[in-house]
Amino acid sequence: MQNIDDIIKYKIKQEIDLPNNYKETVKNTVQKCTENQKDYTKKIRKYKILNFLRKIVISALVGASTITVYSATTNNLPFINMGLMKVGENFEENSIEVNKSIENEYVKITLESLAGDNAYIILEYRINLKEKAISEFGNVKYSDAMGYSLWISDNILVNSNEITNKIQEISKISDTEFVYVEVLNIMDIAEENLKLEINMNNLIINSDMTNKITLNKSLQFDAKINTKDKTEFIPQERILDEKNKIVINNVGNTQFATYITLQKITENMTYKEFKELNPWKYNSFIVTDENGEEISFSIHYADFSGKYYYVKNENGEFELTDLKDIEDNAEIRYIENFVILLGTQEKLDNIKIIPIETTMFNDKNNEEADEYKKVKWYPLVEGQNKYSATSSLGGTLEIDNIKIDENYITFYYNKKGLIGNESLIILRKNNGTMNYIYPLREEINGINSTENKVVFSRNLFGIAGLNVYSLEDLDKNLENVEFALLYGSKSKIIAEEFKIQIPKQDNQTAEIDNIKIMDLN
Amino acid sequence: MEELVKKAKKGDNEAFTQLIMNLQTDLYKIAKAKINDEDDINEAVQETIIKAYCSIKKLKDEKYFKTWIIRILINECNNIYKKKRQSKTEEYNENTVNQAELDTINTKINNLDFYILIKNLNEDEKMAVILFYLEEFSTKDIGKILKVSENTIRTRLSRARKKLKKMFDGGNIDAKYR
Repeated sequence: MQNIDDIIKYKIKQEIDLPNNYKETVKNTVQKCTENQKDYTKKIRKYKILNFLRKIVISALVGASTITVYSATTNNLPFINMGLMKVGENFEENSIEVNKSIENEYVKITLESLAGDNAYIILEYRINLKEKAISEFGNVKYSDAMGYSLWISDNILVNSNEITNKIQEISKISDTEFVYVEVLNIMDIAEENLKLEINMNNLIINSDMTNKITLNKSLQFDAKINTKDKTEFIPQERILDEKNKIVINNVGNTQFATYITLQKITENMTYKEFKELNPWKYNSFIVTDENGEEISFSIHYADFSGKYYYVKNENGEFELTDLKDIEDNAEIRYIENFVILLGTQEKLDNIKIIPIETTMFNDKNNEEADEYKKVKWYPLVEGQNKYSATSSLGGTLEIDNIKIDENYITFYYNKKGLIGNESLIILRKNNGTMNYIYPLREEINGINSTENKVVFSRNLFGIAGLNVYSLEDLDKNLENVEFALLYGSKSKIIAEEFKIQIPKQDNQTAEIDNIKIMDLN
Repeated sequence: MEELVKKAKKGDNEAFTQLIMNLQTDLYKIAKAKINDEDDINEAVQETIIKAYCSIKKLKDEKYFKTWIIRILINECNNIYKKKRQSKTEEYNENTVNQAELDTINTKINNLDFYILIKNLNEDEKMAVILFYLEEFSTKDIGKILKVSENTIRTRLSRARKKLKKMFDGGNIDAKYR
């Protein structure tokens, strides 16, 4: 008889035939994350809110409670969930009715209305699933983290160029009826006359590529937009050092968005030098009013990746290049594209944009553990008690109310001064070991909510960054649960602020014409 | 693997794809040790891949990639297990392998050893065995991953060894799997 350890190891390491369905799921999920990332942005972003880069991906702040609030007042259009409150306020009165449908034995998809301006093109569909779809694929699943699992797989061309900057959101009317909104970001398109092609390939149900309904239709239309503000803005830049600069490219104020587009450009270095940069530092921005008080805002990457690598070719010109093709000695230019959204706030004539650099706590050299010991922990108690902490940038976070129900733990907060990129609140169980979790979502007044709050789920096991700590009994046991404020990173200001004048709102919406639906070849 | 992880951290999608493809069998085995239903396994692994893709840049040390993604997977499995338990829509039997399920996944002879192993151990033992023998983690690391003490892991492994030894010696294998 061989040693039992050897036998177990031999047997457990033997190859097995993986179920085909499983292999398909893995393949499709990776594909969605990578190749089809443009269509998967929203879902990915929802997870990103769990990590440190909370301000970069704030559009991910989606949850059931906000859907309910919004649905009651605005005909089930989920713009608030998308962080697009300004669209929510102005979409109905500025959209045109279309009511063109595509239909097959599984589904009827109707483009009910359409609107646009120089920031966004917005499409509102109604999806009616037929009995055959439900019986074959089951009811559409919902999760706090992922929303409704229904997705139109499309690719979108504007003047024959594919655009990847788009987000989708869904509201449920009934088990068979959904409102599906797709918002295309055209902030960086300077052309006045646009030809749009929405090539709808499939409808995917329950995140399973085998549950797909073939659509193969192309929705096409023309849109004329006012590009005056875009073409008149003079870019501003701040040189950080000989290798780094920040550029503000555009500032817009339309019916659907008050926005600023920015770039961080890193150059004059080889790829090898670039790889050696500290990966735990990243740049971000804070927006304040003219008196320096932080205002509500959200920062997004300007498209799915937001990051582009260029390599200097033999002619001395920089060419967009895939990361995997870059050699260590190549001279590179690395560009990160950001969009800042300012929501529905008024009196935004003059604002300041402050570039900051954030360094996350390092768990390899005990920094994270040391900070964990240093941060002040409070017992979780429901009620209107006040707690406060000071950010690395000197501002104050103040909690003034905590509500707990069977599904969520919700903290209501206010900010004063400048707050860096720290996680506003983390939770732990005080059990003698290091553990903590991040919230399910963060809601910001004027951006994706009507109040500031941080929400933890009691039903999903939260995770926290690299360590993937979890609190497993949060649903039934809040004993020894504690919270801390402003943990996870430190930020510092790295350049003089940009002073920006927000233009008067351009109320001219897109002239849309020549809408047609064609077969997709 | 570390080189692939480095590339994936820098945004190389091909490297990420390769990493997942290399690990897909291990991820399946680990999920299978925790939850039985094939749809649930798919869901757990799907969520794991998404979370890994979104946060791989924060992985500070490439050599811990495997530990890290397994921890995410175990959390996902726990989520699903817990939801199922709450809803009581499906009863979980930790110690049985459903024959119909085996049939549907077209089990071949070389799958049997794996299923025999997980059939005959309880959940705690299965996970300890998978992580120790398949992933070759130390008992200390397994303790960290499962959030129990190293001694507990040793006990579980010892129990599992006894059971499996008995089984491999021919004393306790369900006839249909022999």
